[in-house]
Amino acid sequence: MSFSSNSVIAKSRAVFGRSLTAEDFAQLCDKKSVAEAAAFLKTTSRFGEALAGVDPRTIHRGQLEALLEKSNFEIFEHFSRFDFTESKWFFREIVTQLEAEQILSVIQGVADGSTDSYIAAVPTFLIRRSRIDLLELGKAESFEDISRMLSGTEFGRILQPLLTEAAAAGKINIRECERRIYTYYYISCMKMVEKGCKGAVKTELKRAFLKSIDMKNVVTCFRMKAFGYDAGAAAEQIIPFRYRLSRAAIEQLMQQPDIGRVAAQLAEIGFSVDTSAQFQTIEQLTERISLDYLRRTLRISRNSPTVYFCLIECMQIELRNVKTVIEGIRYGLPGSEIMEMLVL
Amino acid sequence: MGIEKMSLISVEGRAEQLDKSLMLCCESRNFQMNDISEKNGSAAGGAAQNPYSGAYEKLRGTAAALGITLEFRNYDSVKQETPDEFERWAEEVSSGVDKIRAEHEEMLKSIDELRSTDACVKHLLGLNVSFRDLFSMKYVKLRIGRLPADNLQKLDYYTNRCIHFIPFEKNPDYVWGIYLTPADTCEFADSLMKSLYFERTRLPDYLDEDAKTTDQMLENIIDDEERLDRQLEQQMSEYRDKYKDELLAVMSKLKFLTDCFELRSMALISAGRFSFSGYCPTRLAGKLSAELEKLDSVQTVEVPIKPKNAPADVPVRLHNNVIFRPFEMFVKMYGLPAYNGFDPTPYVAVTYCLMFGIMFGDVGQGLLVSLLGLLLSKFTRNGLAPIMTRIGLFSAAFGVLYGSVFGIETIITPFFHRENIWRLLGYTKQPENIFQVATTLLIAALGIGIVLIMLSMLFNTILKFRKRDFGEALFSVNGVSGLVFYISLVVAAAGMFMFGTNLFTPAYIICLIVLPLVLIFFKHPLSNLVMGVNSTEKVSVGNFIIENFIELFEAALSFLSNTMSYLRIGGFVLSHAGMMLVVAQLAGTNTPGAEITVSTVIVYVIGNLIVMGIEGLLVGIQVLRLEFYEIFNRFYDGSGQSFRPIEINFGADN
Repeated sequence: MSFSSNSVIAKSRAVFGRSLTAEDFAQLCDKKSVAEAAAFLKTTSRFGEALAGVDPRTIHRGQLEALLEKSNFEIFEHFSRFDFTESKWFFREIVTQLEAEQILSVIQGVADGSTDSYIAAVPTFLIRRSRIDLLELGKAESFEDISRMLSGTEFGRILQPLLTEAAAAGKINIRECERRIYTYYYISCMKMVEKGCKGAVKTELKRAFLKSIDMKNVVTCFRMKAFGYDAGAAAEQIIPFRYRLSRAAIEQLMQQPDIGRVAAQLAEIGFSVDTSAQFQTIEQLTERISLDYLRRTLRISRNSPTVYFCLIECMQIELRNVKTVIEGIRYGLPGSEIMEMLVL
Repeated sequence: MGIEKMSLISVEGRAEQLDKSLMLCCESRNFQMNDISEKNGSAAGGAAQNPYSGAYEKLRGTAAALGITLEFRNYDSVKQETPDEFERWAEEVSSGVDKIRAEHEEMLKSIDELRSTDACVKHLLGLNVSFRDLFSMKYVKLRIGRLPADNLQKLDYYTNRCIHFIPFEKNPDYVWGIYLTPADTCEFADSLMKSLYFERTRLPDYLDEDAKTTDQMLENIIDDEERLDRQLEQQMSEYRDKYKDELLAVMSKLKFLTDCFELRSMALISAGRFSFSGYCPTRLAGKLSAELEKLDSVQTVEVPIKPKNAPADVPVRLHNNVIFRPFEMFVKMYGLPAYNGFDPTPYVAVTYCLMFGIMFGDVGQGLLVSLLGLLLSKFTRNGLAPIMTRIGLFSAAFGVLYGSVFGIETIITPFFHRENIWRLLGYTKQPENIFQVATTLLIAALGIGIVLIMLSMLFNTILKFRKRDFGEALFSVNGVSGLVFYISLVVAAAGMFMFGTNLFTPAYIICLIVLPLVLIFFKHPLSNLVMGVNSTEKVSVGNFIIENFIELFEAALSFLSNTMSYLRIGGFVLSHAGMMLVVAQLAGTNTPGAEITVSTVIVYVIGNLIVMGIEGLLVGIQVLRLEFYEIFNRFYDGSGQSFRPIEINFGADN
């Protein structure tokens, strides 16, 4: 554990303490417009600073969401400047994950012929921290362009065969690109855990990582089942690490008719889940399971990498909740209905 | 003096007399209504819609718009009686206010928009071409506004899309500027710039000059609109002056009628008759019953509540004389006593004043605290003010004893300078200052503590006997056994250390120290025996010994720690003297014959104020701590429910 471990724990808990509360979300859900929601978020200690310069009356939804994302990114960046160990390598992985999303977005844009919108959507906060020139990447008009721009990077190495194949065939297997990129990302994360931690710290952090991967795999399996794929196809598509989600569990999962049954099965294999609760989406179920574990671990763990990892995950869930509320407000849904969609 | 005796009043009559009965109860301000509907599971009285609430809410909104703080006014002159009459009046007053308010809000919105436009124009002051010329271009379209600063770099990647952005001014969040685009690609450019979150500012048609002139014009328009807005505010103010008194009187009456109607939900109405009940102080119950019975068909039954057999929900109101009354605040802070309990207010008042006086003894400072308390009582409703008046006097009295006037000890002779006293205290020569009698002071502080602990245990014993809880009275730590143990230990210790007499004989130890401890140890079985209770709880011998041993050990330790806790009384006497010594040193008056100058006086004044502020507060808190922790803990159980008479006030409506 580094010298700054205790301060990372204290700082993580302090940042977590500023999270929006259920009461804040209830108030946010009652807002009637994006402007009102922005004005409310501006008054919170969590997002107040990030929104200080904006005029809530004129802010666009996309801009608001971009600023909230930037706020999270800046917190992680601040941690990486403050602590030179775990926060530093975690930050590198956060950047990698965001880069992966951008690359997939560009590939999708080229595949759809909608390359114009990419540059406008690229998060500006990522541009200066990314090892890839994201704005240049946005100029890509073909798979060859992407392949050329990514050459010399790890992503280029992973995607090269698929991009070459796509250049010849004129179409690309996006699902496979996604699988390769995220597999690379998680392998790199697990290597980092192996290299950066020892003993009990490593065991605890690995458990947290693997649980998080399990939940992502549950979502992938459920979605693939909805598109008619079988357990074999799902097993090939999921991230190749597991905590409790064995091959047998995946097969069983693919047979469940609804989210309620999935919840019951997850409870059977040892995940702590309230089976009497109603879940509207599979993400709501998996995030509910994750959030309970993350919050508990964040409060009781004595290991700074685990605490920091839990903070990152909690903040991302919180951000997704805020985006859900903004989306709900835009569609004019009643506050109570939006509240039901959140993971609190 | 103590806990006010309560009576239960049941009121019954014809249903049409319900409102009048409730009004009388409200007006008495001494009637706490019981919710009959809760007990009977029906709320017949509250089923109807409140006919006054509409008019009240409308007027409340009007009062808020006019900036009137709601307060109760005499409403004898208010002519309106029926809900319709109130509605009409509310409509008449509100419509005028609503019209002005709507215009005011419209004006504010317009000013806000103009300011926002002007803010943008101000960022374009370098633009010396008229907007008319720019906006009237046929082949090139122009937009003005601001772009998030982060997105500026992205524009470089759209150079082939015929968008030319000219930045004017920049802050960390935004860049203000204009963009030009060919008319035929305008739609695409607008869409692209929108996706980059460009916030377009639309200038009104009449603003067609260059940026500088436009800015000037906008400022003039804003000034004009602000002037108009001030006129509207003036109109609002005139409206407020015209209607304020009448509005408050009508609202007072409406509030009264509204709340009385709401109280119907707590009454029972059946077969054309109503009934409700509630508690009223016994000394006022007769008067209230007589008033109620003056109403046609209304009958009352008054039942005085005896503390011995009081139901659990009887509310408690403390009733003390004017000297002790301010100290009720401390008792309420801890929790009111049970109806069949004991009001410790007089005890708290005396002990608080005494301990504060001892710890903060200074004639000048005490009288100043008292005077400050008097002034605060006159001009504020602060509950601490009357307490300050009283404790200040005790502080002054002890100041006389210590011979301290604003820390100067040469004006009054201190008690320890009197020969008969210092000889009585065992000193062979006159102590020069209070620090030389520190030991005596600390022993005296312990003595005070011992007396207060004994008194508290005695109170507890008496109270338990009164409640016929003989087990607790005889065998508890704060009962007879604890009292005997504590007194015996104190007497023997005092005999040994002060008079050289060893009382610790085997008989003394066994009878007065060991036996009470044994009784405390076996409190539960002995209590059951005395009270004739068959305990069904099965406890193993091991558990019994461990639990009771720990309890006994903790009790014995608490006797010691509680007694030592009172040392702070002596400690603060010394601390006060020490702080004043520092002030004297800073002022340079600690040596005989020191010259008194203006700076000496200033240092003395500031020093005294600081000592009063810091030490006064500290002593106040420490004494309260002693009261709550060392005294109340031994006998007091703040389990009473506060008496909450029904009354009409604007409370949360403001």
